[in-house]
Amino acid sequence: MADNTTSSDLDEDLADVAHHKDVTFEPRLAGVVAEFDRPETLIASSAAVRDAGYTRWDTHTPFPVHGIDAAMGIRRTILPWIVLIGGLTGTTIAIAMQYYMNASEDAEFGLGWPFAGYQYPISGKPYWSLPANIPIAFELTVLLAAFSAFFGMIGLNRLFRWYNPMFKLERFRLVTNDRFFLAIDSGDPKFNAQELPGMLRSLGATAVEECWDDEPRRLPSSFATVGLVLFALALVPPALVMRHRSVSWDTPEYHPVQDMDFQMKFKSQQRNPFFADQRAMRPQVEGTIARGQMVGDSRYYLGTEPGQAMASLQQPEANADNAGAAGSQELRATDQAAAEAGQTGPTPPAGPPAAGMNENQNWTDEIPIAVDERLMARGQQKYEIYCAPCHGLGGYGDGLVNRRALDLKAPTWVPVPSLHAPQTRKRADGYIYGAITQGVRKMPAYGSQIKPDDRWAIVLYVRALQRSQGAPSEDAGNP
Amino acid sequence: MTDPDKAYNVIDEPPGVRTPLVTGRHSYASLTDTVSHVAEMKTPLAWYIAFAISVFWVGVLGVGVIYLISTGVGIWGHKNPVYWGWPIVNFVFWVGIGHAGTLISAILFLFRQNWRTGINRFAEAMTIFAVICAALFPGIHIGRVWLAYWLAPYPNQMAMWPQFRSPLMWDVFAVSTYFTVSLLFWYMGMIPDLATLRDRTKSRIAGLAYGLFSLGWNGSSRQWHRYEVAYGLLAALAAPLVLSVHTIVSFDFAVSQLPGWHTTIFPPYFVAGAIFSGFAMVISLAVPARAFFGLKDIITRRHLENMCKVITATGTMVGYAYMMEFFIAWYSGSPYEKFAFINRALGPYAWAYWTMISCNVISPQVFWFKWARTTPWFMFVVSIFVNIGMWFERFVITVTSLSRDFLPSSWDYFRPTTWDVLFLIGSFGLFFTLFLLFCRFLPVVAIAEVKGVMAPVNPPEHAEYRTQLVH
Repeated sequence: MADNTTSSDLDEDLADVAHHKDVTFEPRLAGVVAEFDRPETLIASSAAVRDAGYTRWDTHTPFPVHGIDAAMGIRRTILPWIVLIGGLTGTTIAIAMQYYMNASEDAEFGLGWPFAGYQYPISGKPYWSLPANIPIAFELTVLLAAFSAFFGMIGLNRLFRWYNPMFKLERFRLVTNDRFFLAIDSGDPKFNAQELPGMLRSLGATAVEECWDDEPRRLPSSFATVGLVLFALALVPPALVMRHRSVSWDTPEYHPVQDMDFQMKFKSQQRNPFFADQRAMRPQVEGTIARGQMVGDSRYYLGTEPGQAMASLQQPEANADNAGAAGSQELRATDQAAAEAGQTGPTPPAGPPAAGMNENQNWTDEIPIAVDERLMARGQQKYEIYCAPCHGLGGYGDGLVNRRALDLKAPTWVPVPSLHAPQTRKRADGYIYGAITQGVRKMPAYGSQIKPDDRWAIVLYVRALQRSQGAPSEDAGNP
Repeated sequence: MTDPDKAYNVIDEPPGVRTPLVTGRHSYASLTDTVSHVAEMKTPLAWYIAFAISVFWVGVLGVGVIYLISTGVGIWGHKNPVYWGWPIVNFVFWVGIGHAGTLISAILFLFRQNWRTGINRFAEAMTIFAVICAALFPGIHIGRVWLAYWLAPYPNQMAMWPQFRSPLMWDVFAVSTYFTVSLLFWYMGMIPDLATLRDRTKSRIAGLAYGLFSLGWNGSSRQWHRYEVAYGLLAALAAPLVLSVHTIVSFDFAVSQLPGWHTTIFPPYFVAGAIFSGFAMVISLAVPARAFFGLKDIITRRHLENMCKVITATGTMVGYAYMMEFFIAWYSGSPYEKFAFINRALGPYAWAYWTMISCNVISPQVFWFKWARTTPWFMFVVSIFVNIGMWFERFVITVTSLSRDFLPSSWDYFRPTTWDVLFLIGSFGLFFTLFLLFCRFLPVVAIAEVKGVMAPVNPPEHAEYRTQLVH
């Protein structure tokens, strides 16, 4: 009844069960229950009962009464430690699980058999990157800690014991309403059913009652049989599932949703009999120019000498099917050097401008806009916004991004070369302009973000940087 | 009986004096009676009507789910390029609603805000039901619902494991952990109050059910000691958890590369928005419920006023986030970001954007006036506006960014289908069905907790009731 939750208490319960195994159960005096009408009296009485040396007793209140713990001498619960262990277990499981399932096959930090699990390549990212694994580690930590707190509380409080002899007292029903109770267990060494009521009344109890336990404390034997049968039955469905998964089938796969598995559509490389050329993916319509590709002055927009510009505009289909017509269409599309375009004949298929720059294009070697001090200042400003993070303020390739990537030994990173390297110094202006526009290697295309004028300004500034770091001797004599 | 709101007029109270947490001269017993009455009274006709309407919409939702599973997600307005339409909007909306419950029960507990005791049970129940509604949407949105178990890390012959670096996977863990912990917290808080109903009921079936779920609680001080420690620990665990959940929901957007989504402000902005919408929902529910169930002494106008203050604070934070998004879009120099935000405010969805701004940023500012934040019917109206605004916020974020993606040729205007609308209404039906069941059968106020913070009228004036029970 009074719940001291010591291990000896449980032992006694078991002993009781064993003792009454073969005898009919006699009602026994479980304890004495005193009722109080206000928490202050209960606290004072608790201190008195504690000081009188009782050990198996408890108080029962409708809400947690402040100060009662000290008055009763309740020791602090070990629950926080259980929760700490639960939380740490959650963290460990989460980290180990993610490592095993995503990163451990023969990774850099692989521990080998039996810890070798699986490796999951995701867009070239590192197999093991702790920051990305933190959210799940956090969630599992909280989950297991919360389970520990909840089930730890239930377990320590023995809350799954629904029966308590005190529930038979009509008066005790008010314990969840507005009454406060003090109950002394008959198992207490100092328990004396004759003297206790008087003592409790003198402490201020409004009523004192004896509490009798008249229920057998043993489960009927049929419970075990029924439990065993239910357990055996519960194993049947998983066994069936396991069997179905482990035998081979010669019937075709079942498609529950037909129109999802077989969709009425063409994929880009499929054959489509509707068109004469039977291609599902349609070429660009003749005589049209894709959005953003309308460039007149190839020097200014592309950084190439006229003529080469056509290469990136022409469609291979147009060349193959109707070279002459395509040529005349191109003639209208651009204002100059159309004839040259016609003479170059079939050109290599050019996709959209990609990171793979064609080094052999006919890059222009002059800046096609007026060069003045204002342009240089503009170039410096734009360089420091867009280029310096990787290339560094001085152009030595020592920008923060590059340094960080090298520190991390990022496997897919291509180190940023110095702009002062001999081959870069030798590049045409148009090449640098093209690199900014289309991107090169790891460097993304900035054409959509930086206007042509500003790109040329950057080229000018890069040229100035290169000259400043490796000035020819004649510069000295030419102030 | 006089209206408690009139008996204790918050507006008249002198400055520096705080309204008591429980008004109207209550003793412990009369408080127990007041709250238990909600679960014990004869079911009112209005409850049956409301329940019938809600259950009807649950039925519509059920039909919708069956139709969806048998036909595919094409029954929604999903169409290139918007493949995250209303279901994801609804998901984020409902998860956000849930956050206020945990904030009230956990964070305000840790800050020793005792006024929370009047509303926390209510708000926690709202959390549980909102998360159920939320979890429904990604569950059915995955298309092949019968393969949903692939989300779980379990050994299989395909050697297929979850991709733990994906925010969508984090989301699975976050939302399911959030639901589990909220449920534990809610249930644990309810154990002593279920015992109260167990000890009062005269019905055998109710006694058995309340008895079963109150786990033999007998109010032992040794149990209370561990119970309080466990409650504090759960609160301490739930507080960072609730912040993590909407942070991770925002990662679903922020970790992708889409302009308008790829921003670092999303986590705090989503959390503030979640608390904002959740408090609005608590007011939408509490104002009618306290009047209908006679709980005005326990959910006082002070509670409502405090919640209105939280709404103004979080609404202003959300407004700040809206401004900051525009500033960063301009400051980033990225033309795509700039376009995404100009398109949001002035593009084809401008109507949705300005609905959002007026509901979320402008309407809560009325709570600067004391009259507005102490007048229940008025705050109810404003809370409805906030709910609408917060739904539109998620709509604006999800749909405007997707409908104008990187490839202008695939740009399109998103149009919901009838089923989109029915699923949204159906989710409200589910929410209110669960909420009405809660109001009918469970303790709607944390009785034990309120007793711990109230100043009871002494000596107890309950002799009459006691005699009646004992004999």
